[in-house]
Amino acid sequence: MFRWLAVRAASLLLVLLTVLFLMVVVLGATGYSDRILQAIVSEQLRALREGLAQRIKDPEELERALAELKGEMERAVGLDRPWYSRIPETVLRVMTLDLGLARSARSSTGSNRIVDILAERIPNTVILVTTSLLISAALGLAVGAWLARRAGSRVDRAITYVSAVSNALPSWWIGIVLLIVFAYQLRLFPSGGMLSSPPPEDWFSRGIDVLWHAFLPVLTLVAISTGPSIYASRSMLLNVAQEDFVSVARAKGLPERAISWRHVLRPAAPPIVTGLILALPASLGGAILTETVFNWPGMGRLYYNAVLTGDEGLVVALTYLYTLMYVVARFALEVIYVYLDPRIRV
Amino acid sequence: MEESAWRVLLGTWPGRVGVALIAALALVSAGVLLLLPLDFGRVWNDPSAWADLPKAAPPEWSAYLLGVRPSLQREIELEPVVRGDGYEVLEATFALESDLPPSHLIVKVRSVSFQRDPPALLIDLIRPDGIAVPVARISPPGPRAGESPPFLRYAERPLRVEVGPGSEGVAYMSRELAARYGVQLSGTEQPSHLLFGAPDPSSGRLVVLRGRYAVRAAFYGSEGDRVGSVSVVLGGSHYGLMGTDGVGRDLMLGLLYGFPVALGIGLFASVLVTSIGALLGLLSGYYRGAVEAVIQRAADVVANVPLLPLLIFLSFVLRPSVITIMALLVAFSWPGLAIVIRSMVLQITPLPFVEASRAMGSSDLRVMLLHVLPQLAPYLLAQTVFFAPSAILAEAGLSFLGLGDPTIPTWGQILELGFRTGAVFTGYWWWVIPPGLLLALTGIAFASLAMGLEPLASPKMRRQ
Repeated sequence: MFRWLAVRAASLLLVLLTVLFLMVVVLGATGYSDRILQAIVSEQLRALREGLAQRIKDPEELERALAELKGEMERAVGLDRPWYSRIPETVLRVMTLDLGLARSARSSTGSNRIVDILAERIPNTVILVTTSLLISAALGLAVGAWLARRAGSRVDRAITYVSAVSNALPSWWIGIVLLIVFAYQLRLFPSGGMLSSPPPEDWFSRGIDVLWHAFLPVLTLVAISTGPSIYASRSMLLNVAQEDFVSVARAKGLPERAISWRHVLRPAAPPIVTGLILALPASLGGAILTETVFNWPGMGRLYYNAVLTGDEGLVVALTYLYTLMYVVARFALEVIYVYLDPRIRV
Repeated sequence: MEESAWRVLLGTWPGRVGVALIAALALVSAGVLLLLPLDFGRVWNDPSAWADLPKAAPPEWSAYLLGVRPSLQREIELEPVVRGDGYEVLEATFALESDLPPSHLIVKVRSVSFQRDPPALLIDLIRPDGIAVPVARISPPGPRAGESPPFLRYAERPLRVEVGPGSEGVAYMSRELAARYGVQLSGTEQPSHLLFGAPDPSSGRLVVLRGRYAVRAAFYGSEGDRVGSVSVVLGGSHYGLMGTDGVGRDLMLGLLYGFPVALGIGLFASVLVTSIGALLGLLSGYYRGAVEAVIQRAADVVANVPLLPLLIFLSFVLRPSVITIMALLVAFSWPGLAIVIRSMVLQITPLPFVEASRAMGSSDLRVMLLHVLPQLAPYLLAQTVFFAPSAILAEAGLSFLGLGDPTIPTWGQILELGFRTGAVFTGYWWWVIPPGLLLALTGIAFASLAMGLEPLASPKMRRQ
């Protein structure tokens, strides 16, 4: 079991490193990494300038000292060397999110350090993605099980068709339609954001306020990921239901409830987790676009703003964080899979 | 495809829906490719090509649906009624019977030629109530140094004068409305509401003054001076079948052009992905050993890369064209197929007919092409169809984040511009609903076709 998990962990780590390496090479080859480093150096110089100006009064001498300092710092970050010799340092820089300051994005405390901005955005995205993933998994399992019992019926065929097709719809556009209908026309839900302004005072109404704002984005994400989830659950359950041991259980005279819980649902659990694993990238990707539509202050909306303002440091940091998030979530699901599948556990 | 394959495909209703929708998409695309210029992207991005059209005007049919008579887009050519030497009067009349005023009024003058001093052109709008509004006074720039007569102006591009806020005509009309009708103006009225408006007798609110209008242009010049033509553009309160966007572009044309683009992106990317995935799967399943190990390990890693973030990153840094976006998409999408095809090949190669062919001394290439590949063909076809919408959606998603190829209008880009302009909160539904609907329809078409092909592709069917 640990061996199996270790192999999965190694494989996922390799994914993370591959993405990192690819990013760093592309950044280096296109000159973006130089620009990021230069921005960092000039940022630090600006901070030092004040102090130096206090000590050195002669303006010419000050300029000379600054130029010397600049050269020193450029050497220190490796700007005097070609980009490919800096690959390991740059990888480390990306991993520690040491990418300088954001152009125009600010954290709620006014900091423009990329780490600070991301730190308060991550939870917002995690809340959105996990809530909708859990809802669509539960919904998928329930509807899938209901359909599996009616396999081949008209309802089954219709819902199976809709679930398969829903995969091919632009989720964010569904979000836009929901906005037009529920926020613009009916004015039932807010048009975006996460909290009303000003936000409510006590924590309870604040929670209600967040839920009210989260309703449409979650609905959008659920709308896209429930279809595949229903489809996966239904076919897994159908496969198991056709196994011999289910017929044996039925022949033994076990009640239907016991059969569906112990003999069908239980063996189908690991493949359903596989379905969740497969739905994960679509949910994360869908969340980027959905957050953009609903102005949800998560990583996805930040991505959109970073692209619009041409903030390369933020784009790099977000790409890395999304990959990291995917890899971590993926590994968590693998652990659940191992827990559910006794064949691997022994 | 054989006849029986068609029968299987058309036997299920997803298959029928899919075939019908794809046929419709293909037909529209072919028509668009025949009728629209191939470099339509340049026309689309040229604001002067759309300057006459109203900005963000809803489709015409939506007005009729709401029971409102829209005023339609027209350009009216003035006819000469008096023609002297160096003196001309041109005139045209038009009826205005709509509930909404025209969105704007533009005067267009083409080819003014003169011998010595610049001539003058005075244009009045004469309303049914008799008020003559001076909408334009035009005097072309005088002779430049070194230029010899006749001096020709506005020949290549017509002069366009929009009767906008703050123009003489609008100011004149505001005064007239106050003087003659006693209307209290707030100063926020649209120019066209003033030009074509009069107070409603019962409520006092400004409504459209219906009736026959005239436009009169008087041309004063010296001997031999001439004006080529004068016309007025009445902007539509509503426009066309699909309305216009914020720059005045006819959305119908942009949406139509999106058909071949979307279909091209989908088919090109999916054929490429299927070919690469099939080739790598075939090689690793057939040769096993080191080839298999390398390909399958690589597939394992690439299959687990979260696609959209990486596509965003690469599009952001490389600023790619549609072609490179597709290439990037293909580069990260082949693994799934390579893994499945490998396991299918592993099941096919031990079969007797493959063994027999090998025993007869067939080359590897011959065995793969003649015996293994035909077994995979139906599955590959279904996969090609299945992948197409993901490619189209990926491009649309990137476009929506502002990373599309700006030289080619796509549905995703139209949607993005609409969204960024605030279409959702200003109620410009015709700008954001149709492009998404078309994306959805294309997705449904391919997904249905893929479902219809499923019985052909599944191994159970093939054994029969």
